[in-house]
Amino acid sequence: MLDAFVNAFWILLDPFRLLMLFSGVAIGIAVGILPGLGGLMGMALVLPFLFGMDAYAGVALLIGIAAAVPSADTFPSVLMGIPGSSGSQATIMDGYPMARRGEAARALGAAFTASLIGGLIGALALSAVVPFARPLILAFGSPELFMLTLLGLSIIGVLSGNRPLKGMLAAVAGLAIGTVGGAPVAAEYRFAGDFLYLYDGLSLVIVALGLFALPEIVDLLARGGAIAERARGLGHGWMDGVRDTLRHKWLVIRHSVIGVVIGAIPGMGSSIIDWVNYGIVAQTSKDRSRFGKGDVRGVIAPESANNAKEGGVLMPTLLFGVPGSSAMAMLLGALMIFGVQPGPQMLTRDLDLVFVIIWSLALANVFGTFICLLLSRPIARLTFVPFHYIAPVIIVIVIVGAWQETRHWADLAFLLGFGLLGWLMKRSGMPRPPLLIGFILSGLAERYLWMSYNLYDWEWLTRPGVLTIGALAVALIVASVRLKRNTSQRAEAIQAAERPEIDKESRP
Amino acid sequence: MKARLIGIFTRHLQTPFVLFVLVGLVAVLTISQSFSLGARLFPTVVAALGILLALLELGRQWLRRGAREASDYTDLGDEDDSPLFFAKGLLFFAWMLAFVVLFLGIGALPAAGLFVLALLKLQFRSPWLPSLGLAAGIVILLWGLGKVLQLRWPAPWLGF
Repeated sequence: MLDAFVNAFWILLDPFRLLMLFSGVAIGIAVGILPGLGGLMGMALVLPFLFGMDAYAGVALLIGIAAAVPSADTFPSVLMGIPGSSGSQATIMDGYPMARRGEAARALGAAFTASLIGGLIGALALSAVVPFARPLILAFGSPELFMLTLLGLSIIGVLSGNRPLKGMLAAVAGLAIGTVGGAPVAAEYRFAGDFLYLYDGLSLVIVALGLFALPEIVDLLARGGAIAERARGLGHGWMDGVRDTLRHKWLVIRHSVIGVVIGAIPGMGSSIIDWVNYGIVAQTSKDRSRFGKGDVRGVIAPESANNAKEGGVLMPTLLFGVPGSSAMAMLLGALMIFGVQPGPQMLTRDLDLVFVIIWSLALANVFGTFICLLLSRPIARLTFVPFHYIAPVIIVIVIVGAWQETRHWADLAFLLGFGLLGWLMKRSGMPRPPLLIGFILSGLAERYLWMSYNLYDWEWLTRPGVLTIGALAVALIVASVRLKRNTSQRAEAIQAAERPEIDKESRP
Repeated sequence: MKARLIGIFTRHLQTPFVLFVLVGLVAVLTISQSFSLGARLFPTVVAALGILLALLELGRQWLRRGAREASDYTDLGDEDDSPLFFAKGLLFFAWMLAFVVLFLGIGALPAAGLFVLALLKLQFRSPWLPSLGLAAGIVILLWGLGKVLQLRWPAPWLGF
């Protein structure tokens, strides 16, 4: 195990892989700073260019994006009071008031340092879990793995939107879309008719780009204007922010651990983690009077948790093949592109790759923090570029990327079709992540179900492991729904109390 | 009239959407019955479960008819669901469709340059200099990416 850990570090030190990691961090920063875009879209954008790359370089690129977004999304939260992504909403509560006082640099310095430490704790927690989880996971049979897949999918479905039923329905629709093409366990083509293009099934690249890239671009173009009309200067006090975080080291460690634990529950989402941590720090601090008015602890707690959660969401993803978040579903899809079968086999056959992912996560956090600290002024200026200058470039890259998939006109037709579907889902309040995750997990779930049925008929449903996971699923769903509901209510209450003041200040 | 229709469509989009999914799942269930057991088992289980969920969701919507639904929790930002916003969104999809037609019709690099220039000039009334600069920049970027990543471009339908 230790050999694989050290070996993975040397694998990642290859110049091309480091370059890919660095490129991922740069893309993650660019999409993190532009509200409305996010890690999911960033990952979707690079998926078409992974073909031909080695798996280590590919995962380094994707992890670079996933790890950098939680750091970069702090810029718009602090400077403009607009969340850069769903994981930086709570940072606004104290980060923006600090910027209003001319302490933006201090808030950003504290946030980036907390993000760095949180990210490293997340990577450490993940690497510590692998040796202990391996024997347990390898004892699972196909029925238990099928139940775990369903467990992950149902939790994500229940938690992804405002309505559990809609989320579950979207997940099931994703599973159904995944059945198009050749059946994995029988020599038969399904729902493809005579259309040869569909014999291989729909491509992850097309579905992901359509569902997550096009709707975001269309909405931002339809809204028009620059991302920020004006923003305050960064001011001074970077080192004060760094010192603030180091002074509150126990706070950073506590919230990083909370971030890892909640992140490990599939579907909990960054916004819940963000608000839970803000709520905890505001509730448990002795002096609560300054929260919401620019208390640096209100920046440090959610930011450390937000980056640490990446280690958490990778746990179910790497150990069970159950994506901890939509971005991790994209990572699983990418692993399949490289011919890696996600799930317990990864811990035997591809242990090097697991540790490369962990090292990438750690290094990406370091790179991301340093880039954000050193290039903060030009990065902050990105927010003033009108979106109509950015959008055409993204549209062209999306369409060119989709074309590289099979170079068939149907790639582009399905891209636009899924784009429209994703946009209508967004407009009608249907959550899109469960659909994508259902689509990605469809093949895996079908194989597990068929193996379970073939080996045990329907009696697999009565196996103790299956019943235990089923009971766990119910308990986890109930507890998660409660946590999410309470968090949402608390977040709304906090925002309702603070928002008028922030809005008033934002007005030119 | 058109705006009103779009307004009605946007507000009540969730019910047609669930119906659309329901019809799709019924089709999956029906068609899959002609497959062998290995190919049929999973689509049957998934479609049956999905139909049950779709019916439950339709029932929920019926019980809560008239109440406004909040948007996707994971989606940030605008809650704008005005007819104008909806129409603008469809317009940008039309722009993308036009780019796809150009892409297949005249080839990737000229299509990209032309699309960027047309979108900036016609849709956003952007000044010539940044529009031409961005259009040239995207062509150079694609050309460079094509060389580095050995990307393949479509053979233009129009043959040049």
